[in-house]
Amino acid sequence: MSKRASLGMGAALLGAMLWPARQNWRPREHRTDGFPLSYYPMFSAQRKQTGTVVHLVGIDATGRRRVLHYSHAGTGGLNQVRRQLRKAVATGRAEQVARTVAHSVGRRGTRGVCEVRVVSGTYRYDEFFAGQPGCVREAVHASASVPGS
Amino acid sequence: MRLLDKLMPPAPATRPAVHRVLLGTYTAVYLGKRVRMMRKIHTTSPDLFAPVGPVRVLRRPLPPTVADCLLCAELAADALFTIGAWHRVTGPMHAASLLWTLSYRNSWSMVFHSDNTMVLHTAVLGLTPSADALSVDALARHGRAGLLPTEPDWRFGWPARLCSAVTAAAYLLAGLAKIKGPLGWAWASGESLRSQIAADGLRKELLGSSAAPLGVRLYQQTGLWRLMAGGSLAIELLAPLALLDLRLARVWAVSAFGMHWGIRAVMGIRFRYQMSGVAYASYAPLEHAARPETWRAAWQAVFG
Repeated sequence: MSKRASLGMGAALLGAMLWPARQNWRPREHRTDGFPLSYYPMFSAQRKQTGTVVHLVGIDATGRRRVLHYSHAGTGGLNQVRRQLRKAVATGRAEQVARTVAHSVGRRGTRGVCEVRVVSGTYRYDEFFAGQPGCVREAVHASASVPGS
Repeated sequence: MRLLDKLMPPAPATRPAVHRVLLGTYTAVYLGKRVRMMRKIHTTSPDLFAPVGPVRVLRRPLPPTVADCLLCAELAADALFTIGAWHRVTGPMHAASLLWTLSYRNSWSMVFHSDNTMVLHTAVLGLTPSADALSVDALARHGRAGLLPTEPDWRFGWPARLCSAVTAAAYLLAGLAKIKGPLGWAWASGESLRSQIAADGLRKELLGSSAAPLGVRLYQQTGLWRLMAGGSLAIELLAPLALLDLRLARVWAVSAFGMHWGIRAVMGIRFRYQMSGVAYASYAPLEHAARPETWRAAWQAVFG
């Protein structure tokens, strides 16, 4: 291959890479990300003073709460499961997730947990990172009993 | 013509060859450690399937057995790419199958941006003559003497140039997304980065992992966040400029490498490809690593 042809192919690759940058000029709700051609939106969003996370809570026989590990709900790493949990709640599948998690907890025998809940918790960052609870509100989307507990 | 010569400087065949071996080995370790996880992902509920890249041709996920077989095929293609066997066939094949494998892995509601440049660098090295040295092909063609040819040629300098340009373009895009985001240039004030650290830490704590202790300890140090945000934005936006001068490019590569280790320390997020250093291999004179005298000198320096 000649120098000019190689340069042309290189320019085409870089052009394809830069093409997704046009997403930055679209309304936020219409922006779409791709792979491996991306506009790299990570860390660019504006955050508020509070954050809401869909997560899993385990309740033991005495009513004490315990944070459950995300791997009870799915596989692929924390961020992937986090997004899948959010999607499940948004599409009305929280009950199904609660049942899956309850079975996983029962199978693994997570210490004393007899009920699992899928919740959305909203927290104030400053308070949370100062070691205070910081919970502003919490909504329970679904719950399920742990089999055999 | 002089511009072309400047853009495509000659280099020995060992430069892209060492890069090929590093990238292929990194990919083998990266995928090898995730085979079990990826096979589990292949059985994820089809409701969560959100195809990206070439996987968009699918309306629903592949049967898990087929997806598993494609993953195995990619591991085999990567092995052949790394040892440089039948490169004209296995190079493009590995580039295509890695693109498919990682696109499929990213098609379950989360795109992992640290994989992008790995796929693109593989495409560059898979489609260029990166196996004319240190390869089974070179051994078969010219015997042992063919393993370390010294004749420089622009065809061996160009892959590194293109890989560096790909890296720079990725950082430029990341910087552009920040200044075109809701905060604009105010992103450099550090408040957004601090909130990102908080959001990330909160998610980790509530999902059964734990926030990076250093990030939590530094959370109240607003001046430090301003410094880190300004620094990272400068690294991202200035990445293409650093390509104009070789020494500047190397300083930039070391800074970007340090930035990712910094992100690991304060956020607990691992950009594995970048943290391994392989992402910046194209900025280094890799041909030195293929010279026996380099290894002899290193041996003597360490063991006398």
